[in-house]
Amino acid sequence: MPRPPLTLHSEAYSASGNLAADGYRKLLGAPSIDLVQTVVREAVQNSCDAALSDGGAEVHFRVRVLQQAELEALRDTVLADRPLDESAADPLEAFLSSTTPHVLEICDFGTAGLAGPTRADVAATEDEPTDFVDFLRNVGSRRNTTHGGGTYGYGKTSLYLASRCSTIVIDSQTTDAGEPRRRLMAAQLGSAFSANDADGIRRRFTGRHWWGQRSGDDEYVDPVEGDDAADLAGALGFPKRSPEHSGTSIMILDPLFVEEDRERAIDLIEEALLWFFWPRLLEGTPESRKMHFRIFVDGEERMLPRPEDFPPLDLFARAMKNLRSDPPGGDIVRSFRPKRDLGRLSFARGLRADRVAPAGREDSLFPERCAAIAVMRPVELVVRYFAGTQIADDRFEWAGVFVASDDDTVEEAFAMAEPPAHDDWQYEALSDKAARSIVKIAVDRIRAAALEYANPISAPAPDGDKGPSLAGIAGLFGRALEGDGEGAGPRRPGPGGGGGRTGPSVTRPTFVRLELGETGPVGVFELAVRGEGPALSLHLDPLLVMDGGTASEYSTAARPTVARVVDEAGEDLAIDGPVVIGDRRGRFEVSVAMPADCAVTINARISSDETV
Amino acid sequence: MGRIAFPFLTLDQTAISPEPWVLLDGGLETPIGEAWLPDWDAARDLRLRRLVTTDLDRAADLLSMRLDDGALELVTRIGTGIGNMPRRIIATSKLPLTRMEPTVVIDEVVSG
Repeated sequence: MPRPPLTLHSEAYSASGNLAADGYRKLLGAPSIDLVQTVVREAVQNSCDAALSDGGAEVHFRVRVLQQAELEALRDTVLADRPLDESAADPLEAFLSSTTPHVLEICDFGTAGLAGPTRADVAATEDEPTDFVDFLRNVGSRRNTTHGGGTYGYGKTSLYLASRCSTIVIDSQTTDAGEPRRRLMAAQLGSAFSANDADGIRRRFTGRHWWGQRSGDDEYVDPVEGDDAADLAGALGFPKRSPEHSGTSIMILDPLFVEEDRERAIDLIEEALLWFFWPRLLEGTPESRKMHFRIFVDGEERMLPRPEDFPPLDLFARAMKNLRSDPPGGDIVRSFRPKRDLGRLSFARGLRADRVAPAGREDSLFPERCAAIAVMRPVELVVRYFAGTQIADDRFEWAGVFVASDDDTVEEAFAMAEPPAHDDWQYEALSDKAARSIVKIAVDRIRAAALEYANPISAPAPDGDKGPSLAGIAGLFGRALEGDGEGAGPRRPGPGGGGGRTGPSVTRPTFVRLELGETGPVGVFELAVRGEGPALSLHLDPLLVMDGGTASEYSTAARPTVARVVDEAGEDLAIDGPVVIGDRRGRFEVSVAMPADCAVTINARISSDETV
Repeated sequence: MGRIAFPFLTLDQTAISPEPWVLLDGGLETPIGEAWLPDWDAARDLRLRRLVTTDLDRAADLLSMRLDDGALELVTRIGTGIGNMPRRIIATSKLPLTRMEPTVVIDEVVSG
């Protein structure tokens, strides 16, 4: 027996005005990611929010060509009645008469389905879900999912935008007032148009169309329900469902991105799933939050790689593991007025690994070398990546993860900052000052961390002190090199106010040999005094060598002392106080009597006799 | 020439010629300067190797002793911290140096 065709309802403007379908399209804004990614994100976020509490949701992406019987059921039963507007009807007709009618189906399992009343004007009780009307009738309804992935329902517009004929068919196994329900409905988002209605009166229409069963009211149509819905769903090739296998299937007709290159379309879906949902796919993800994705192309399954085996997600996985450890790792990002933890930030770096297809192909979402921070709310769906500075050594790459705090105030601030496509944190538009501050501080810190991770810079002291001057450090280096060459750095004033290149200088003493003295070991050092000038004195300062430095104050150890100073001619010089070398120049040997159990070194400087 | 005098005679590179330390990871030798350990943490064991060639005649000369007056041993200390004197010595090992075998292999496992 042929099935009765569904009834088309095209929404007319009410006297008080409606939002035209074009307006709905614009609501999505201009997301910074491609349409396929928006579709994947929107669909998966819907599934996350609808997941039943026990066990994670499973989402299937199915790209296929409709069989002849399926196409006929769609053409002759579901969409038999065509919109009056040609701009809506023509692309639909083109698809329904195509020899290869492609569809993309996104089917979730283990989810609640599109539950609740089917009329938008029926007020649901507090505990009753309104998923059906929120998904198919209302736009912009706030979801009441605690810490859910999506906060607004605008993103669903992307599902229509992804269809060349702006049309989707929905099959949902759900509940209404606690009773199992099967629901099937089609919807289209066209453009506003004028036409004569059934009574021959010229009217303006919004461009929104629904196909369902008559409701007894000309103002809307209801979904097909019960056995009729199950029968029709079967005829269209939707997955089998029963009250025990609840969930929703969305069929996008004639998807834009499945053109001649279907492989590319599958790659894009695969990439989008991995790029935005890897936190839910990791081995360590609790089972209740774990997502299970499966991709089918004409019924054949395509395996999705594990993020841990899919560079650079392996690095993100490591950073995430650190955040999930007990106690959690990473650094806390804080605001100080008021004092509040905004989230945690963790990094991982490693050798840049070869990419696994589809990553590594042209236009891939995955960078050749990763240097970015993935940010997310506690729901662990990636909102976006903040690109940072690459490690100087191009063999390495790094990845960071920021997870916002699950504190209600903080979580709500980040949720409000997300645009409909959930692909950014835009604090500028937030009217709530506290929320704006929370998101701004976090985003600023994340941006700074992304820039600094590869090339850390010394942070100023908390009191605003800028730290030591570089000039001072340069001077220290200069002094260290004093007399050894002609490099930069201040020289000590030479005798008579000299000190230029031709002034006298002394080289740093170097150890030449160890001798056995009367009281123990004696270290012999050599230094050189050069340059013209008046009579000089040599100041020698023996030091004990400690691990990592020297010590001139001794409490328990014997002090090293200068035992002998000999000039180049072999003449001994007096060593009581500064060694007067007069106008002697050249090499000098300095013997230092040292403790038997310590290492020593010696510093040397010169002064003119007049200044001693 | 260094700037430090130790209270004992020391050997220099004319007596001891060490190759750079290498890290053994999965059977491959990687020079330490270029080594990058994926998935490293403090619990991971490290295997290090170094070739050292000695000239015992030169060593005896530097130490002002006769070759037969003593035995020379190569001592490897593994510790924490920077500098010449590790703050904490984790392990020490000794290898005898002989004229018959001028080149020795230090093969150490640093337990995590």
